[in-house]
Amino acid sequence: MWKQVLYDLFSYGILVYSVTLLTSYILIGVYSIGATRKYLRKSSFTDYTLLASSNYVPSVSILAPAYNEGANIIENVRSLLSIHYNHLEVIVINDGSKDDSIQKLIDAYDLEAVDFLYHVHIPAKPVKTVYKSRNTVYKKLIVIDKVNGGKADALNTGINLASNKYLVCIDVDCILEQDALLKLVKPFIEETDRRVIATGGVVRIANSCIIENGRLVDVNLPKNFLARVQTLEYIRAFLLGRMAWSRLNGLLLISGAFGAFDREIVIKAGGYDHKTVGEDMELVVRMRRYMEEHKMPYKVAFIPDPLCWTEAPESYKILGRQRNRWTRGTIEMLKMHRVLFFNPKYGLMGMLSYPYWFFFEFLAPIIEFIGMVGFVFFALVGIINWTFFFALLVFVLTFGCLFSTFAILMEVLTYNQYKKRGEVAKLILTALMEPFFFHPFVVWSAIKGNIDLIRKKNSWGEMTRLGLNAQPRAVVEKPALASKLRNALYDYLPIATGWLLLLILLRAADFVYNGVLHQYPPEPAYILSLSYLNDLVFFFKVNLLLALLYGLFYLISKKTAEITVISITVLLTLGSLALMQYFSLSFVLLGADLYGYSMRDIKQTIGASGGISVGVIAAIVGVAAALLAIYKWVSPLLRKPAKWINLSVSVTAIVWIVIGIFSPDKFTVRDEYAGNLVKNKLNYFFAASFEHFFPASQAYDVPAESSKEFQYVDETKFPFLRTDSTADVLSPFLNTASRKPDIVIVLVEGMGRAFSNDNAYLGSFTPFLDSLSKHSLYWENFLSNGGRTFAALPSLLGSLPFGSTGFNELGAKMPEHLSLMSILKANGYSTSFHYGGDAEFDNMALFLRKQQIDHIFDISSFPADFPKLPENNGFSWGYGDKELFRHVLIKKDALAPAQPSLQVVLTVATHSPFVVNEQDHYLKKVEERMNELDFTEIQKQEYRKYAHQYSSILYADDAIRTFINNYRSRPGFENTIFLITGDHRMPEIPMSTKIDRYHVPLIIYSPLLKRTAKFESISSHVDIAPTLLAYLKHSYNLRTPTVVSWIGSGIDTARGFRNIHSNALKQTKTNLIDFVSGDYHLNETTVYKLQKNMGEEPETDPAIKAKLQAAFARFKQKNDEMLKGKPLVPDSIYKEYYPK
Amino acid sequence: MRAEYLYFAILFFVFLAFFMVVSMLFIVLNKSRMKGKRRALAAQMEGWIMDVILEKEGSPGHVFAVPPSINDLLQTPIAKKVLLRELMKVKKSLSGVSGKNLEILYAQLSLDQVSLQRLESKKWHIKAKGIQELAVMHQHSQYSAIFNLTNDQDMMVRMEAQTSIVRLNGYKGLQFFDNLSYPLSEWHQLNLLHLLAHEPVMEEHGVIKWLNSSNATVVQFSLKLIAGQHAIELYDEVVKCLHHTDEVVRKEAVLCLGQMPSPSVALELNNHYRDETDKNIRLCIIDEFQRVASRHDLPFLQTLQQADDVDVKLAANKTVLYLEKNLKSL
Repeated sequence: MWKQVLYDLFSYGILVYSVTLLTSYILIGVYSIGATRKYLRKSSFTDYTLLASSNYVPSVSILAPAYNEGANIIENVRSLLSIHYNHLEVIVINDGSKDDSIQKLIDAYDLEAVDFLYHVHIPAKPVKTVYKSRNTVYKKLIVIDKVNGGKADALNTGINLASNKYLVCIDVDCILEQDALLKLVKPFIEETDRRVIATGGVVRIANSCIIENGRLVDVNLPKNFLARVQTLEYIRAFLLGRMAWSRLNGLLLISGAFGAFDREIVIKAGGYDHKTVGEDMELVVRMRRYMEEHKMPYKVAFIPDPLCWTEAPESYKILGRQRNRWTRGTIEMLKMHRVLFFNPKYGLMGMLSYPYWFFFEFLAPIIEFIGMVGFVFFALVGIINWTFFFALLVFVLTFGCLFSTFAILMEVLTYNQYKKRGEVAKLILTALMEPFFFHPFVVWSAIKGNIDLIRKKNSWGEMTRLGLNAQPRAVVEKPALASKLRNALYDYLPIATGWLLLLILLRAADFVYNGVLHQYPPEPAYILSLSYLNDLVFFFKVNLLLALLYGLFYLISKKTAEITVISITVLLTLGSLALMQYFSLSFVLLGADLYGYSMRDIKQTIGASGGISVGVIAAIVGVAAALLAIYKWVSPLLRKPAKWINLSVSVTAIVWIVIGIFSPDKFTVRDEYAGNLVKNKLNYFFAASFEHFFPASQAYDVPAESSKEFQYVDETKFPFLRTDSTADVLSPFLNTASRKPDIVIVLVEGMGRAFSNDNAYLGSFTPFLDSLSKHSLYWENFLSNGGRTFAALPSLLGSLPFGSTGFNELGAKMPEHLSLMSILKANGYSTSFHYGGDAEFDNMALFLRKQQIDHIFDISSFPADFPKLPENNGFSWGYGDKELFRHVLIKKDALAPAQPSLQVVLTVATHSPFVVNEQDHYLKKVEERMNELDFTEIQKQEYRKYAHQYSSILYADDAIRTFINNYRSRPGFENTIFLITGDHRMPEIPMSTKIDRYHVPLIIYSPLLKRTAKFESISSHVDIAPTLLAYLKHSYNLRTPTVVSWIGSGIDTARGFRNIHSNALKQTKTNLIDFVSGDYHLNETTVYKLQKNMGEEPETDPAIKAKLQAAFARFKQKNDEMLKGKPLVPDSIYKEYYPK
Repeated sequence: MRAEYLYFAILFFVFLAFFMVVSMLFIVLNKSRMKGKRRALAAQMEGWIMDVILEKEGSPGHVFAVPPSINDLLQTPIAKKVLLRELMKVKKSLSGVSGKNLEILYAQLSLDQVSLQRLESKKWHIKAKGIQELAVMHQHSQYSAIFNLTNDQDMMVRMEAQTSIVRLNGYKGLQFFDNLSYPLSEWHQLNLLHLLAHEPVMEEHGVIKWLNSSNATVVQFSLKLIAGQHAIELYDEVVKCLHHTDEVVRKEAVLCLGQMPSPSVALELNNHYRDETDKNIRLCIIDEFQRVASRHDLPFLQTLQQADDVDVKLAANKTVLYLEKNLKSL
C-alpha cells in the first residue's frame, strides 16, 4: 500500500513538474515572438553606421582576457582592432599565460611598457606590466600582462584599467559580426527613463563556418552532430529564452562570450567574483541587486541579432566539462543570492527570474535524473504503471521536439541563418535526435556538476578548442592488404554501431508501440531486457556476415563497400519494421508461413487488416531516413567507442547463445504474447525461412510402443489407415428421428474460449453462446488443430493430417481421402459451404470440391442488396455474419425438404481488421458488457485497446442468435443438429499460454437432445467427423467404411478433466511445433502440463518430454510419408464410399 | 489521470510540430520565391531608373517617359512596392538633379499615395515607413501631416516624424522642440545631429529658446549643437546651464564649454567645480581641463591630487600628467 502511495506521489509529482516546466517554456516561447518582431521592425529604421562615425557615441572599453591563446592571439587582436568605433580602447589582458602570447603581441604590435595610472577598484592579482604600442595605428590597444588569476580576475583587472564608460567583455577567440559592437552599444543610449546596465546579444556556433582574417564570411550548419545540436540549443536559448526574459526585464545572464556593461555599476557592484565558475551570470545578478537595493530604475537589455560566433565543443569530454561548469556556476549563483528567492523587495528578479532558475534550470536535470532512477526502482519493485510511464516519457520527448521545432521556425522567420539546401531539414532531424543522443548526456553532466560542487571541485576544466581557422591535415598513405582490411574493419564498425543504435531504438519503439496499442507484458523490464539480448544475438550474427562482406567490397572500393552494407542494413531494418507491424497487428510472428500463402491471399490479408496505411508508409520512410541520418551524423561520432561497443555486443551475444544451448528453457517466457514480443522478428523469420527451404533431414527416433492408440492396417503402405473403432458417444444424448438429421456446422472465425462462456479468463463476450451452451452438449476444453483457418476444414470435415503447409495446400497432389462431407454426400446428403469471403482463400474451395460438395456459396453468391463489411484501405473480407446467416437460410429454404443436408458455415467478421456494420452499436455493447462483467476502470482501459475485437465478437454472437432463432421457424429445425465451434482462437487479443491459440468451445445444440451436458475433457476438431459418422452409423445406419484414415479417435464425453487423445496442432502453415498428448503439451522443446482451466505449467520431467517427442515424431513421420506419396486410404475403400 | 490525456497531448504536439515543419517549408519556399521575384523586378527597372537619374533636371510639371513594359509591371502591387523600395534606396545616396528627378518620378507614378496610405496605418512600423518615404522624397506638401506626428505617443513614429521634419526643413524643423512632451534619447539626438551636420549654422534666437526648455533632453541636445559649432556667442547661455537642476544638462554644459574657444572657460570650470555636488560632473570637469587648462590651473589641479576621493585623485593625476607633458612640448 505504502509503495503504491509513494509511486502515485512520485509519478504525479513528475507529471505536475513536467507540465509546469513545459508551460513555462510555452509562455517563454510565445512571449519572445512579440519582442523579436518589434526589434526587427525597429532595426529596419536603424542606421547603425551612424554609431561608427559619430562623435557623440559613448566611450567603450573592450576587455579581452587571454590565457595560452598564443596560437591565434595576433589574428584575434587584429580582428578587435579593426572594429570601427570612435571612442574605443581595446584592452587585452594576458592572464599569466604559460605560452608566448605576450611576446607575440609585443612583436606584432610594437608594444612598449608604459606607466599607467589606474586605481584598483576591484581587488585582483598584480599587474606585471602595461603595454601600449609605439605605432599610432594601434593607439587603441592596451595590453596588460598580469599574474594568473583566472578569467574573472583578468576581467577585474581590465575593469580597473579601463577608462571608458562602457565595458565590452569578450572571449578573445570569438568572431564578431561587423556591426556587433554598434548593436550592443545602442541599447545603452536608447533608454530615457531608466539606466541600461548591461546588454547581450545572440551567440551562435561557428563550427563549419568559413572564417577569413578573423571575419565570418560564410555561415554553415555544423557538420559535427554535437556542434549542430548545440546550434539548436543556442537558437532555443537565445532566440526564445533570453528574448522573452529581456522583454520582461528579468534577464539574469549575459553571455560571457560577448556582453556589454556599465562600468560604473560594475565597479559599484564589486566586479566579477573569481570564486565562482559562473562569473558572467553572477555579475549580472549582483549588478541587478545593486540597482534594486538602491531603488534605481534599470534594465538589462538583450538583442536577438547574432553578434558573436564561437566554437562549440565537438567532443563529449569537453562538452561534459563545459556543462559541468555551467551547472556549478548556476548553483553557486543561486546559493550566493539566495536572499532573492521569492523576495518581493527584488521585484521581478526575486519573484520570477530567480525562482525560474532555481526550479527549471537548477532542479530540472536533478528531477529528470531522479525520475529515471525512481522509475527503475518502481519497475524493480513491480508497481510501475508502464502505460502511464511510457505515455509520460513520450509526452515529454514530443514536447522537447516541438519546442525545438518552434525555435527553428522562429529562426527561419527571423534571421534565417541556415539557408543552404537541406540545412533546416538537418536542424529538424537534429531536434528529433537530441532527446536521445544529447539531452541524456547534458543531464548527466549537470548531475556530475552537482556532485563535483558537493565534493568542492572548483576547476574551470580545460576547454580545448580545435581552432576556427584550423585546417584538416591530409594523410596520404598506401596501406598493405592487412592494414587495408584493418582499416576496413575500423571503417565498418561505426556503421555497424550506428545500425545497432537504430535497432535499439526500434526495439524500444516496438515495445512502447505494442504496449500502448495493446498492453505491456507482465514484468516488462525483464521482457525488454530479454528482447534486447535477442536483438544483440541477431545483430552479432548479421554483423559477422556484414563485416566480411564489407571487407571484401572494401578491397574494390570503400564507397562500394559502404553503399552495399548500408543498403543491406536499410533493407533489413525495413524488413524488421514490417515484421514488427505484422506482429502488432496479428500477435503472431511471421515465419515461413508466408510461403504457404499465395500472393492473392497475402494481398487480401494485409489489405483487409489495414497493414499498409499512410502511417506505415511514413514509418518506413522515417526509419529509412533515420538510419541514413545516423550513418551520416552519428556513426562518425562513434568511431572511437565503436570497437568497444561491438566487442561488448559480441561477448554478450556469445554468452547468451551459450546459455541458450546449455539451458534452453532457462529464460522461457510462458506468456504467449510476451514470448513472441521478446523474439527478434527478423531472426525468427530468417530461421523459419531457412528451415523451410533447407529442412533438416528427418530422422525420427520412434519407439515401437508408441503406436498403441490405433490399430493400423498396414503402416508401411498406408501410414494413417486403421480400423475404425470410434465409439458412438452421441446417441445417449440424442433422440433418433424418423429420418437422417440435418447437420449445420458453424465455424466461427477466431472464436476462442478465452472470451467465451463461463470461466473465460478474459470474461465472456458471447452472451448468446453462453446461454445456448446451457441447452446443449458443451465441451469447454475443445481444441482446434490449427492456429489459423487453413487447418479448420480438413481437420473438422476430414480428420486429416496437415501435409507440409496444410492439407488444402497440397492442391493437385492431395491424396485421395474420405471425409464427413464426402461420406454424407455418398449417403444421400446435400452438402453446401457458406462463406462471406472468397472461398478460394486458403484453397478451401479446392478442398471442398474434392469432397464433391454440391454448393459453394461465397462472396460471389450474395445478392446485390446485401451490404458488405466496411472497407479498410479499400479492402473488405466480404459479407458480415448477419448477412451470411441470412443467406444460409435463403439457401436452406431452397433445398428439397426431404433430403438431409450438411451445411458448413464459416464466418469472417471476427477477422482483423474487426470492422463490422453497426460498429458503434457493438462498441457501445462492449462498454455495457464490461459493466455487466463488473470490470474496474483500469480493466476497462486495458480492454478498450481491443474494443474492435470485442465488438466483432459480440456482433458474431448476435448474428448466431438471430440465425438460430430464425432457423427455429424453418421446417426441419426439430431434426437438425447444430455444431458451433471456433476455427482457432483470435490471436489479436494477447494470449496467455501456448495452448490458448487452439482453445475453442464446441457446442452441439439440437432439438433432438435428450439432455444437456458440460464436458471438461479435451477433444479436438479431428474428433468431430469420426464421432458424427459413428453416431449416424449407429442411429441411422449410415454406410461408413470400417477402415479409416482419421487422425482423431472421436470426441471424449467424460465430464471430468482429462485428455485421452494424442494430437498434433499446426500453429501456422509452416509451423508444426505443438503436440498434445494426455495431460501434456509439447511446444517446440518445452513441455507444459495442462491444468484443469487449460492453464499451463512447465514440466521438466525428461521422460515425459521424451515420450511426447517420440509420439510427435511418429505423427510427423506418418505425415511425411503421406507427403512422399503413400495413400491415405486404399483405392477400393475410396471408390466405395466416395460419392459417385 | 488517464494515459489517454497524455496520448492526446502527444498527438497534439506531433500535429503542431508537423504543422510547423510544413509552415517552415512554405516560408522558406515563399521567401526564396519572393526574393527572386523582387530581384527580377528590380533588375527590369534598374536601367529605366538609371535613365531617369541621368536625364536633365525636369521641371515640376515634367513627365518622365515610362516604357510600356514597366507600365505593365506597375499594374501589380508588388512591382509598385519594389519600385518604391528601389527609388528610396537610390534616393538616399543621391542629391541634386538626380535626386530631384526621382522625386518627380515618385509623384508622377503616384507612389506618394502609397506612402500616404502607409501614413494612415495604425501599425507603427507601417506609419513610420510612410513618414520616412515622404521625407526622403522631399514631399514638403506633407510637412504639416508629418509635423503633427512629432509629438506622437508612439516612440518610433515620433522619432521618425522628428527625423523627417529635420530632413525636410533642417534647423527650422527643430521647432517641434517647442512643444515636445517626451524626452529625446541619446540615440535619437545622435541621429538628429547627424542630419544637421551639413546644414547651415543655426539661428541664435531659436537655440536660446531651447536652452531654456523645460525638457532637459532638449537642453542637452542644444548644448551638443552649440559644442559642435563652437558657438562662442552663446557662451553666457551655456554657463547658465552649469546651474541647471538636471545633472545631464550640467554635464553636457561642462563638455560644451570644453569646446568653446575662450580663455575664460578654465576659470569658469574651476569656479563651478567648487559648487558642483555631483562626483561624475566633477570628474568630467577635471577631464575637460586637459582641453582648456593653462599653467595657471596647475596649482588647482595639484590640490585635487591630494583629494581623499581616489577617483578624483586619479583623474587629477591623469590631467596633470597630460598637461605637464603637453605644456612642456609647447
